[in-house]
Amino acid sequence: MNALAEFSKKIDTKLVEPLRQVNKGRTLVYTTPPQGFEVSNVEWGKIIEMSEGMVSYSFTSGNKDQIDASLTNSKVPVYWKEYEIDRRIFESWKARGTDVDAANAIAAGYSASRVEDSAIINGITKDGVNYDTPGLYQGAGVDYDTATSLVTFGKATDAISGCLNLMDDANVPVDRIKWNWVVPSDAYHKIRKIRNIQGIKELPDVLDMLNGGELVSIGTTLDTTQSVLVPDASVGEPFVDYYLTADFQTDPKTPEYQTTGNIGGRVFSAGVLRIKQEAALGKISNLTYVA
Amino acid sequence: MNRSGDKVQARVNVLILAVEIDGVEKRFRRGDIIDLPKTKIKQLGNSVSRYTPPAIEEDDEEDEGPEGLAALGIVAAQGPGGEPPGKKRR
Repeated sequence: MNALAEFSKKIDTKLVEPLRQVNKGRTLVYTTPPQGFEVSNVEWGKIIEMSEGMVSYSFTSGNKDQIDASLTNSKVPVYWKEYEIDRRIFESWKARGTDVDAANAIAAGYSASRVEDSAIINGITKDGVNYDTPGLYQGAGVDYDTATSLVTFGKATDAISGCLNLMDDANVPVDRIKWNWVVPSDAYHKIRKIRNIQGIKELPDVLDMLNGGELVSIGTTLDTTQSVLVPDASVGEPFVDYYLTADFQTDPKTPEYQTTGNIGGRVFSAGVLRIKQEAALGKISNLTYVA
Repeated sequence: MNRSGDKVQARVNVLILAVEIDGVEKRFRRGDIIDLPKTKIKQLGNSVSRYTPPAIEEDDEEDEGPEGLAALGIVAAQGPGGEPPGKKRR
């Protein structure tokens, strides 16, 4: 086995597990098994509006168009980052029998993972305004924009209640679904620590309203004012999923020089978020941090 | 464009939007046209988009009358096929 193939194999084995640990986007939605990197385009039905069902004592015609679905099409983006390791260091590891240090590749993998997280949670944009592929936040069909001060006891639960109410009105069975509240880090820590003057924490109430779901911090992937309620991955597949075409892996680059050229490659994954029913994603979009 | 103060018109893009306007929470549905402060439109992101009403061409009454139409060669100004002078079409 040549140096390149050997290195690539070792990196692959060291890379996948750490990336699975840090990747948050995929944990929020049902993720399909990898469909193959060659899949560059995907189509799916997006439910626009469900018309009324029918009640009768026998089946009759006229209820065929229950689901008004539009066909949505998206290219499958690739999330990637390149890395490089000095050839002399690599040869030194080999000569001493030291385990290959995959730090560079893992660091590259973390970067690729953050980009994928951002695509799933927020969306893919070139100009910061228009989103080619909306993520959970940008693709949400419900927006609860009433100012929610996270330093005032009770406002977090007000916001969840308000947002769930809007989704309920859009015919989403909110009381039967486990919800995760995806929030930026600032909000996460404020919600976890807030107490009323009797010292009672608000967090248990927040979790109770999420029907068994969790408060999830996604760091700085969303702005401090933004958050989104997402159905848990265990029940959310009918509403949204992540169509994975390639799991994290490395592709080695042929060194410029056979025996002295640096060893490197790229870490990549590929997939696209498919929002099938936008009403089941609810933004809470006006978080504030002043009383 | 219909402006009131620093407010501009925006079209609701999401299925349901709950937003505070002048301290009161109001609900809107996709397609509704609402007046919002410019800063609020920016904060709401893609939940709303600036709305510009379609331009309506102002009709020129002179041109609609028989004289105007006659000038365009559409009807005779007076006499057979024409209309009495001074009568305006609505």
